[in-house]
Amino acid sequence: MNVGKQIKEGLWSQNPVLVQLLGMCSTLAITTSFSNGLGMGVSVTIILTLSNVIISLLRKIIPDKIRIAAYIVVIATFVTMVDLLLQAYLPDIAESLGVFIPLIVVNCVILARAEAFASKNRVLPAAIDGLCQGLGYTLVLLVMSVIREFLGNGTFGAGLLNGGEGYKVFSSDYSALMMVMPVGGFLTLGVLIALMQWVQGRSAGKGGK
Amino acid sequence: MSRRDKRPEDKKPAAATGAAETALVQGTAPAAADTAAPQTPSAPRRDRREKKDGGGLAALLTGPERPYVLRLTVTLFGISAAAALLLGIVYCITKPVIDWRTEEKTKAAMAMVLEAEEYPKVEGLTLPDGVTALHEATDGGVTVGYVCEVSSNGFGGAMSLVVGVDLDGRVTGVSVIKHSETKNIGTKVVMSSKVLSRFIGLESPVTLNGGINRFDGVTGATFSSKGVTAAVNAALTAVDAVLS
Repeated sequence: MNVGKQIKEGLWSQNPVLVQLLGMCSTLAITTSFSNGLGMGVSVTIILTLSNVIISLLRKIIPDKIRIAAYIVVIATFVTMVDLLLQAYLPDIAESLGVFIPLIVVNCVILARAEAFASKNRVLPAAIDGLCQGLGYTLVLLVMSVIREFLGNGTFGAGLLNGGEGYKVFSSDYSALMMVMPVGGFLTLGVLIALMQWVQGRSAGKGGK
Repeated sequence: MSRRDKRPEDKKPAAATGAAETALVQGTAPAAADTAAPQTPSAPRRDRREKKDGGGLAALLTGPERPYVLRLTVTLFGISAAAALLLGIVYCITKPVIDWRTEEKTKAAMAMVLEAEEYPKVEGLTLPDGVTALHEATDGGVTVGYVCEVSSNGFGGAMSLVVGVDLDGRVTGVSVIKHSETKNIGTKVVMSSKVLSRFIGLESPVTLNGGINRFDGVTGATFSSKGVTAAVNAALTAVDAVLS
Protein backbone atom coordinates (compact mmCIF):
# COMPACT_ATOMS: atom_id res chain seq x y z
CA MET A 1 0.00 0.00 0.00
CA ASN A 2 1.30 3.40 -0.93
CA VAL A 3 1.36 5.47 2.24
CA GLY A 4 2.76 8.56 0.54
CA LYS A 5 -0.10 8.58 -1.93
CA GLN A 6 -2.64 8.26 0.88
CA ILE A 7 -1.12 11.20 2.74
CA LYS A 8 -1.12 13.33 -0.41
CA GLU A 9 -4.72 12.42 -1.17
CA GLY A 10 -5.93 13.15 2.36
CA LEU A 11 -4.16 16.47 2.72
CA TRP A 12 -4.42 17.79 -0.82
CA SER A 13 -5.66 16.07 -3.96
CA GLN A 14 -8.61 14.27 -2.32
CA ASN A 15 -9.01 16.63 0.62
CA PRO A 16 -12.30 15.75 2.34
CA VAL A 17 -13.46 19.36 2.63
CA LEU A 18 -11.97 21.18 -0.33
CA VAL A 19 -12.29 18.45 -2.96
CA GLN A 20 -14.81 15.88 -1.76
CA LEU A 21 -16.92 18.67 -0.16
CA LEU A 22 -17.87 16.44 2.76
CA GLY A 23 -18.70 17.49 6.30
CA MET A 24 -19.77 20.98 5.26
CA CYS A 25 -22.14 21.53 8.18
CA SER A 26 -19.54 21.33 10.91
CA THR A 27 -16.93 23.03 8.74
CA LEU A 28 -19.09 26.11 8.25
CA ALA A 29 -20.52 26.21 11.74
CA ILE A 30 -17.63 25.75 14.14
CA THR A 31 -14.65 27.41 12.44
CA THR A 32 -15.05 30.61 14.43
CA SER A 33 -12.05 30.23 16.68
CA PHE A 34 -8.73 28.42 16.65
CA SER A 35 -9.58 26.19 19.62
CA ASN A 36 -12.92 25.16 18.07
CA GLY A 37 -11.26 24.20 14.79
CA LEU A 38 -8.55 22.24 16.55
CA GLY A 39 -10.97 20.50 18.92
CA MET A 40 -13.34 19.51 16.15
CA GLY A 41 -10.53 18.44 13.81
CA VAL A 42 -8.84 16.25 16.40
CA SER A 43 -12.17 14.72 17.51
CA VAL A 44 -13.11 13.85 13.93
CA THR A 45 -9.64 12.45 13.22
CA ILE A 46 -9.78 10.16 16.26
CA ILE A 47 -13.31 8.96 15.51
CA LEU A 48 -12.55 8.51 11.82
CA THR A 49 -9.44 6.45 12.46
CA LEU A 50 -11.07 4.24 15.10
CA SER A 51 -14.24 3.63 13.11
CA ASN A 52 -12.20 2.91 9.96
CA VAL A 53 -10.21 0.28 11.89
CA ILE A 54 -13.30 -1.39 13.37
CA ILE A 55 -15.23 -1.34 10.10
CA SER A 56 -12.26 -2.76 8.25
CA LEU A 57 -12.00 -5.54 10.83
CA LEU A 58 -15.71 -6.32 10.54
CA ARG A 59 -15.93 -5.93 6.77
CA LYS A 60 -16.31 -9.67 6.17
CA ILE A 61 -18.78 -10.20 8.99
CA ILE A 62 -21.19 -7.37 8.23
CA PRO A 63 -23.76 -8.47 5.61
CA ASP A 64 -24.21 -6.06 2.74
CA LYS A 65 -27.86 -5.32 3.48
CA ILE A 66 -27.30 -3.89 6.94
CA ARG A 67 -23.89 -2.35 6.42
CA ILE A 68 -25.05 1.28 6.80
CA ALA A 69 -26.84 0.47 10.05
CA ALA A 70 -23.78 -1.36 11.34
CA TYR A 71 -21.48 1.54 10.37
CA ILE A 72 -23.73 4.06 12.09
CA VAL A 73 -23.71 1.99 15.29
CA VAL A 74 -19.91 1.80 15.24
CA ILE A 75 -19.51 5.52 14.48
CA ALA A 76 -22.13 6.57 17.03
CA THR A 77 -20.37 4.55 19.71
CA PHE A 78 -17.07 6.32 19.16
CA VAL A 79 -18.75 9.73 18.91
CA THR A 80 -20.57 9.23 22.21
CA MET A 81 -17.35 8.07 23.84
CA VAL A 82 -15.46 11.13 22.61
CA ASP A 83 -18.38 13.36 23.66
CA LEU A 84 -18.39 11.97 27.21
CA LEU A 85 -14.60 12.15 27.50
CA LEU A 86 -14.57 15.76 26.27
CA GLN A 87 -17.28 16.74 28.75
CA ALA A 88 -15.32 15.13 31.55
CA TYR A 89 -11.79 16.24 30.77
CA LEU A 90 -11.99 19.18 28.34
CA PRO A 91 -15.24 20.91 29.37
CA ASP A 92 -14.38 24.23 27.71
CA ILE A 93 -14.02 22.68 24.27
CA ALA A 94 -17.10 20.51 24.84
CA GLU A 95 -19.08 23.62 25.66
CA SER A 96 -17.94 25.71 22.71
CA LEU A 97 -18.46 22.87 20.21
CA GLY A 98 -21.81 22.07 21.80
CA VAL A 99 -24.13 20.06 19.64
CA PHE A 100 -21.59 19.62 16.85
CA ILE A 101 -19.79 16.83 18.71
CA PRO A 102 -22.87 14.54 18.80
CA LEU A 103 -23.51 15.58 15.20
CA ILE A 104 -20.23 13.96 14.10
CA VAL A 105 -22.32 10.77 13.90
CA VAL A 106 -23.85 12.07 10.69
CA ASN A 107 -20.70 13.80 9.47
CA CYS A 108 -20.42 12.43 5.96
CA VAL A 109 -16.60 12.39 5.99
CA ILE A 110 -16.73 9.42 8.33
CA LEU A 111 -19.54 7.51 6.64
CA ALA A 112 -18.03 8.17 3.22
CA ARG A 113 -14.62 6.83 4.23
CA ALA A 114 -16.22 3.80 5.87
CA GLU A 115 -18.22 3.03 2.75
CA ALA A 116 -15.62 3.93 0.15
CA PHE A 117 -12.42 2.77 1.77
CA ALA A 118 -12.54 0.94 5.10
CA SER A 119 -15.11 -1.61 3.97
CA LYS A 120 -12.89 -2.64 1.04
CA ASN A 121 -9.40 -2.57 2.53
CA ARG A 122 -7.30 -4.24 5.20
CA VAL A 123 -6.89 -2.77 8.67
CA LEU A 124 -3.58 -0.93 8.31
CA PRO A 125 -4.43 0.94 5.09
CA ALA A 126 -7.85 1.77 6.57
CA ALA A 127 -6.24 3.22 9.70
CA ILE A 128 -3.80 5.28 7.62
CA ASP A 129 -6.67 6.47 5.44
CA GLY A 130 -8.64 7.57 8.49
CA LEU A 131 -5.65 9.41 9.88
CA CYS A 132 -4.80 11.15 6.59
CA GLN A 133 -8.36 12.15 5.77
CA GLY A 134 -8.82 13.34 9.34
CA LEU A 135 -5.66 15.42 9.16
CA GLY A 136 -6.80 16.90 5.86
CA TYR A 137 -10.10 17.84 7.48
CA THR A 138 -8.31 19.30 10.53
CA LEU A 139 -5.94 21.31 8.33
CA VAL A 140 -8.76 23.00 6.41
CA LEU A 141 -10.66 23.66 9.65
CA LEU A 142 -7.59 25.30 11.16
CA VAL A 143 -6.95 27.48 8.12
CA MET A 144 -10.60 28.57 8.07
CA SER A 145 -10.66 29.21 11.82
CA VAL A 146 -7.54 31.32 11.74
CA ILE A 147 -8.85 33.45 8.85
CA ARG A 148 -12.34 33.90 10.30
CA GLU A 149 -11.17 34.55 13.84
CA PHE A 150 -8.61 37.09 12.66
CA LEU A 151 -10.99 39.03 10.43
CA GLY A 152 -14.07 38.65 12.60
CA ASN A 153 -12.61 39.07 16.07
CA GLY A 154 -9.15 40.52 15.58
CA THR A 155 -7.49 37.76 17.59
CA PHE A 156 -5.33 34.72 17.02
CA GLY A 157 -5.68 31.50 19.00
CA ALA A 158 -8.59 32.55 21.26
CA GLY A 159 -9.60 29.92 23.78
CA LEU A 160 -6.26 28.18 23.63
CA LEU A 161 -3.15 30.38 23.52
CA ASN A 162 -2.14 33.10 25.95
CA GLY A 163 -4.23 31.71 28.81
CA GLY A 164 -7.39 31.41 26.73
CA GLU A 165 -7.41 35.09 25.76
CA GLY A 166 -5.58 34.66 22.48
CA TYR A 167 -3.30 37.29 20.98
CA LYS A 168 -5.05 40.51 20.14
CA VAL A 169 -3.92 41.71 16.74
CA PHE A 170 -6.32 44.63 16.45
CA SER A 171 -9.28 45.88 18.44
CA SER A 172 -12.53 44.01 17.94
CA ASP A 173 -14.13 47.44 17.33
CA TYR A 174 -12.69 47.30 13.82
CA SER A 175 -13.38 43.66 13.11
CA ALA A 176 -15.95 42.39 10.60
CA LEU A 177 -18.44 40.55 12.79
CA MET A 178 -19.85 39.06 9.59
CA MET A 179 -16.83 36.78 9.33
CA VAL A 180 -17.70 34.80 12.46
CA MET A 181 -21.33 34.55 11.34
CA PRO A 182 -22.41 31.79 8.91
CA VAL A 183 -21.92 34.19 5.97
CA GLY A 184 -18.23 34.40 6.74
CA GLY A 185 -18.00 30.64 6.73
CA PHE A 186 -19.39 30.37 3.22
CA LEU A 187 -17.16 33.19 1.97
CA THR A 188 -14.00 31.72 3.47
CA LEU A 189 -14.75 28.25 2.22
CA GLY A 190 -15.54 29.51 -1.29
CA VAL A 191 -12.32 31.48 -1.47
CA LEU A 192 -10.30 28.51 -0.20
CA ILE A 193 -11.82 26.12 -2.75
CA ALA A 194 -11.23 28.62 -5.56
CA LEU A 195 -7.66 29.14 -4.41
CA MET A 196 -7.02 25.41 -4.36
CA GLN A 197 -8.49 24.91 -7.82
CA TRP A 198 -6.32 27.73 -9.11
CA VAL A 199 -3.13 26.26 -7.66
CA GLN A 200 -4.02 22.80 -8.95
CA GLY A 201 -4.80 24.18 -12.38
CA ARG A 202 -1.49 26.00 -12.48
CA SER A 203 0.53 23.00 -11.44
CA ALA A 204 -1.25 20.91 -14.06
CA GLY A 205 -0.31 23.51 -16.66
CA LYS A 206 -3.93 24.00 -17.64
CA GLY A 207 -5.24 27.10 -15.84
CA GLY A 208 -3.67 30.32 -14.60
CA LYS A 209 -1.34 32.46 -16.68
CA MET B 1 -47.41 -21.74 12.59
CA SER B 2 -50.66 -23.36 11.54
CA ARG B 3 -50.69 -26.89 10.29
CA ARG B 4 -51.88 -25.63 6.94
CA ASP B 5 -48.40 -24.34 6.14
CA LYS B 6 -46.70 -27.65 6.59
CA ARG B 7 -47.24 -28.92 3.11
CA PRO B 8 -45.12 -31.70 1.70
CA GLU B 9 -43.40 -29.38 -0.80
CA ASP B 10 -42.21 -27.21 2.08
CA LYS B 11 -40.23 -29.98 3.67
CA LYS B 12 -37.16 -29.54 1.54
CA PRO B 13 -36.43 -25.89 2.35
CA ALA B 14 -37.25 -26.54 5.96
CA ALA B 15 -34.53 -29.15 6.10
CA ALA B 16 -32.15 -26.74 4.41
CA THR B 17 -32.82 -23.98 6.91
CA GLY B 18 -32.36 -26.43 9.72
CA ALA B 19 -28.93 -27.30 8.43
CA ALA B 20 -28.02 -23.66 8.10
CA GLU B 21 -29.15 -22.98 11.61
CA THR B 22 -26.88 -25.62 13.06
CA ALA B 23 -24.05 -24.20 10.98
CA LEU B 24 -24.74 -20.79 12.49
CA VAL B 25 -24.94 -22.13 16.01
CA GLN B 26 -21.70 -24.02 15.64
CA GLY B 27 -20.08 -20.76 14.60
CA THR B 28 -18.80 -22.06 11.30
CA ALA B 29 -18.30 -19.31 8.76
CA PRO B 30 -21.43 -17.27 7.96
CA ALA B 31 -20.64 -17.95 4.33
CA ALA B 32 -21.99 -21.45 4.95
CA ALA B 33 -25.30 -19.91 5.89
CA ASP B 34 -25.33 -17.99 2.65
CA THR B 35 -24.88 -21.03 0.48
CA ALA B 36 -27.37 -22.94 2.56
CA ALA B 37 -30.15 -20.63 1.43
CA PRO B 38 -30.80 -22.17 -1.95
CA GLN B 39 -33.36 -21.07 -4.47
CA THR B 40 -35.87 -23.81 -3.90
CA PRO B 41 -38.75 -24.68 -6.19
CA SER B 42 -41.13 -23.36 -3.56
CA ALA B 43 -39.69 -19.85 -3.78
CA PRO B 44 -42.40 -18.50 -6.10
CA ARG B 45 -45.01 -19.93 -3.75
CA ARG B 46 -43.81 -17.64 -1.03
CA ASP B 47 -45.54 -14.61 -2.51
CA ARG B 48 -48.89 -16.26 -2.29
CA ARG B 49 -48.31 -17.41 1.23
CA GLU B 50 -47.22 -13.93 2.31
CA LYS B 51 -50.64 -12.62 1.41
CA LYS B 52 -52.33 -15.40 3.32
CA ASP B 53 -50.30 -14.70 6.45
CA GLY B 54 -51.04 -11.03 6.14
CA GLY B 55 -47.41 -9.93 6.43
CA GLY B 56 -43.93 -10.39 5.03
CA LEU B 57 -42.26 -10.85 8.41
CA ALA B 58 -43.75 -14.26 9.13
CA ALA B 59 -42.79 -15.40 5.65
CA LEU B 60 -39.23 -14.16 6.18
CA LEU B 61 -38.91 -16.09 9.40
CA THR B 62 -40.25 -19.32 7.97
CA GLY B 63 -39.26 -19.05 4.32
CA PRO B 64 -36.02 -20.10 2.67
CA GLU B 65 -34.41 -16.76 3.52
CA ARG B 66 -34.56 -17.52 7.20
CA PRO B 67 -30.82 -18.15 7.75
CA TYR B 68 -29.96 -14.90 6.01
CA VAL B 69 -32.46 -12.93 8.06
CA LEU B 70 -31.19 -14.57 11.22
CA ARG B 71 -27.65 -13.68 10.27
CA LEU B 72 -28.58 -10.03 9.75
CA THR B 73 -30.28 -9.94 13.12
CA VAL B 74 -27.51 -11.71 14.99
CA THR B 75 -24.76 -9.58 13.42
CA LEU B 76 -26.45 -6.27 14.13
CA PHE B 77 -27.37 -7.43 17.62
CA GLY B 78 -23.77 -8.46 18.28
CA ILE B 79 -22.36 -5.13 17.10
CA SER B 80 -24.93 -3.17 19.11
CA ALA B 81 -24.31 -5.26 22.22
CA ALA B 82 -20.56 -4.70 22.00
CA ALA B 83 -21.18 -0.97 21.46
CA ALA B 84 -23.50 -0.83 24.46
CA LEU B 85 -20.96 -2.55 26.68
CA LEU B 86 -18.22 -0.17 25.61
CA LEU B 87 -20.42 2.88 26.12
CA GLY B 88 -21.47 1.62 29.52
CA ILE B 89 -17.86 1.40 30.62
CA VAL B 90 -16.99 4.88 29.34
CA TYR B 91 -20.16 6.32 30.91
CA CYS B 92 -19.29 4.83 34.30
CA ILE B 93 -15.79 6.29 34.13
CA THR B 94 -16.82 9.78 33.04
CA LYS B 95 -20.05 10.25 34.98
CA PRO B 96 -18.51 11.12 38.36
CA VAL B 97 -16.14 13.59 36.70
CA ILE B 98 -18.93 15.28 34.73
CA ASP B 99 -21.19 15.43 37.80
CA TRP B 100 -18.39 16.89 39.87
CA ARG B 101 -17.75 19.57 37.24
CA THR B 102 -21.42 20.53 37.02
CA GLU B 103 -21.61 20.78 40.80
CA GLU B 104 -18.50 22.95 40.99
CA LYS B 105 -19.88 25.23 38.33
CA THR B 106 -23.23 25.57 40.07
CA LYS B 107 -21.47 26.28 43.39
CA ALA B 108 -19.31 28.97 41.80
CA ALA B 109 -22.38 30.54 40.22
CA MET B 110 -24.22 30.47 43.56
CA ALA B 111 -21.34 32.23 45.26
CA MET B 112 -21.52 34.86 42.54
CA VAL B 113 -25.22 35.66 42.91
CA LEU B 114 -25.43 35.53 46.71
CA GLU B 115 -22.38 35.17 48.92
CA ALA B 116 -22.78 32.72 51.79
CA GLU B 117 -20.93 29.92 53.54
CA GLU B 118 -23.23 27.06 52.72
CA TYR B 119 -26.08 26.33 50.36
CA PRO B 120 -28.16 23.47 51.80
CA LYS B 121 -30.92 22.34 49.47
CA VAL B 122 -34.49 22.87 50.68
CA GLU B 123 -36.48 19.66 50.17
CA GLY B 124 -40.16 18.92 50.10
CA LEU B 125 -41.37 22.05 48.32
CA THR B 126 -43.74 22.31 45.40
CA LEU B 127 -41.73 24.53 43.11
CA PRO B 128 -43.21 26.59 40.28
CA ASP B 129 -42.55 25.61 36.66
CA GLY B 130 -38.94 26.07 35.64
CA VAL B 131 -37.42 26.07 39.12
CA THR B 132 -35.43 22.85 39.47
CA ALA B 133 -34.02 23.35 42.97
CA LEU B 134 -34.15 25.83 45.80
CA HIS B 135 -31.20 26.31 48.14
CA GLU B 136 -31.05 28.19 51.40
CA ALA B 137 -28.01 30.44 51.65
CA THR B 138 -26.66 30.36 55.20
CA ASP B 139 -23.84 32.30 56.77
CA GLY B 140 -22.80 30.92 60.16
CA GLY B 141 -26.14 29.13 60.49
CA VAL B 142 -28.16 32.28 59.77
CA THR B 143 -30.27 32.35 56.63
CA VAL B 144 -29.26 35.28 54.45
CA GLY B 145 -31.33 34.46 51.40
CA TYR B 146 -32.26 31.84 48.85
CA VAL B 147 -30.69 30.65 45.63
CA CYS B 148 -32.78 29.01 42.91
CA GLU B 149 -31.63 26.81 40.07
CA VAL B 150 -33.92 27.65 37.18
CA SER B 151 -34.26 26.37 33.65
CA SER B 152 -35.80 28.55 30.99
CA ASN B 153 -36.07 28.88 27.22
CA GLY B 154 -34.10 31.38 25.20
CA PHE B 155 -33.78 31.73 21.45
CA GLY B 156 -31.47 28.76 20.96
CA GLY B 157 -33.19 26.36 23.35
CA ALA B 158 -33.00 25.58 27.03
CA MET B 159 -30.75 27.52 29.37
CA SER B 160 -30.07 27.02 33.03
CA LEU B 161 -29.56 29.85 35.43
CA VAL B 162 -28.92 30.53 39.09
CA VAL B 163 -30.87 33.34 40.72
CA GLY B 164 -30.14 34.73 44.17
CA VAL B 165 -32.94 36.32 46.21
CA ASP B 166 -32.58 38.04 49.60
CA LEU B 167 -35.01 37.82 52.53
CA ASP B 168 -36.95 40.87 51.28
CA GLY B 169 -37.69 39.06 48.03
CA ARG B 170 -35.27 41.17 45.99
CA VAL B 171 -32.92 39.78 43.38
CA THR B 172 -29.28 39.75 44.50
CA GLY B 173 -27.81 38.41 41.30
CA VAL B 174 -28.36 36.32 38.21
CA SER B 175 -25.87 33.98 36.57
CA VAL B 176 -26.29 31.83 33.47
CA ILE B 177 -24.67 28.40 33.76
CA LYS B 178 -25.61 26.84 30.46
CA HIS B 179 -27.14 28.32 27.33
CA SER B 180 -27.20 27.96 23.56
CA GLU B 181 -27.89 31.52 22.48
CA THR B 182 -26.59 33.04 19.26
CA LYS B 183 -23.05 34.31 19.51
CA ASN B 184 -22.80 38.10 19.67
CA ILE B 185 -26.60 38.49 19.84
CA GLY B 186 -28.14 36.40 22.61
CA THR B 187 -24.82 36.26 24.41
CA LYS B 188 -25.08 40.04 24.90
CA VAL B 189 -27.70 39.17 27.50
CA VAL B 190 -26.69 35.82 28.96
CA MET B 191 -22.92 36.30 28.99
CA SER B 192 -22.84 39.94 30.06
CA SER B 193 -22.60 40.48 33.80
CA LYS B 194 -23.35 44.14 33.13
CA VAL B 195 -26.75 43.35 31.62
CA LEU B 196 -27.56 40.64 34.16
CA SER B 197 -26.71 43.01 37.02
CA ARG B 198 -29.69 45.16 35.97
CA PHE B 199 -31.85 42.58 37.75
CA ILE B 200 -30.29 43.31 41.14
CA GLY B 201 -32.78 44.86 43.56
CA LEU B 202 -35.89 44.09 41.52
CA GLU B 203 -38.98 42.53 43.11
CA SER B 204 -41.63 40.20 41.77
CA PRO B 205 -43.09 40.58 39.19
CA VAL B 206 -40.25 41.72 36.97
CA THR B 207 -41.43 43.08 33.62
CA LEU B 208 -39.42 43.47 30.45
CA ASN B 209 -38.84 47.02 29.19
CA GLY B 210 -41.55 48.62 31.33
CA GLY B 211 -43.43 48.71 34.61
CA ILE B 212 -42.17 49.38 38.13
CA ASN B 213 -39.79 46.44 38.37
CA ARG B 214 -38.35 47.08 34.99
CA PHE B 215 -35.61 45.07 33.34
CA ASP B 216 -34.20 46.72 30.25
CA GLY B 217 -33.44 43.98 27.77
CA VAL B 218 -31.05 44.11 24.85
CA THR B 219 -32.30 45.26 21.46
CA GLY B 220 -32.20 42.44 18.93
CA ALA B 221 -32.02 39.82 21.66
CA THR B 222 -35.67 39.89 22.71
CA PHE B 223 -36.03 36.13 23.10
CA SER B 224 -32.93 35.85 25.27
CA SER B 225 -34.08 38.81 27.39
CA LYS B 226 -37.53 37.25 27.76
CA GLY B 227 -36.05 33.90 28.72
CA VAL B 228 -33.91 35.38 31.48
CA THR B 229 -36.80 37.51 32.76
CA ALA B 230 -39.06 34.46 32.91
CA ALA B 231 -36.41 32.58 34.88
CA VAL B 232 -36.01 35.43 37.37
CA ASN B 233 -39.78 35.62 37.85
CA ALA B 234 -40.00 31.88 38.45
CA ALA B 235 -37.27 32.14 41.08
CA LEU B 236 -38.97 35.11 42.76
CA THR B 237 -42.28 33.23 42.87
CA ALA B 238 -40.61 30.22 44.45
CA VAL B 239 -38.81 32.30 47.10
CA ASP B 240 -41.92 34.39 47.84
CA ALA B 241 -43.79 31.16 48.54
CA VAL B 242 -41.09 30.12 51.02
CA LEU B 243 -40.96 33.55 52.69
CA SER B 244 -44.69 33.93 53.22
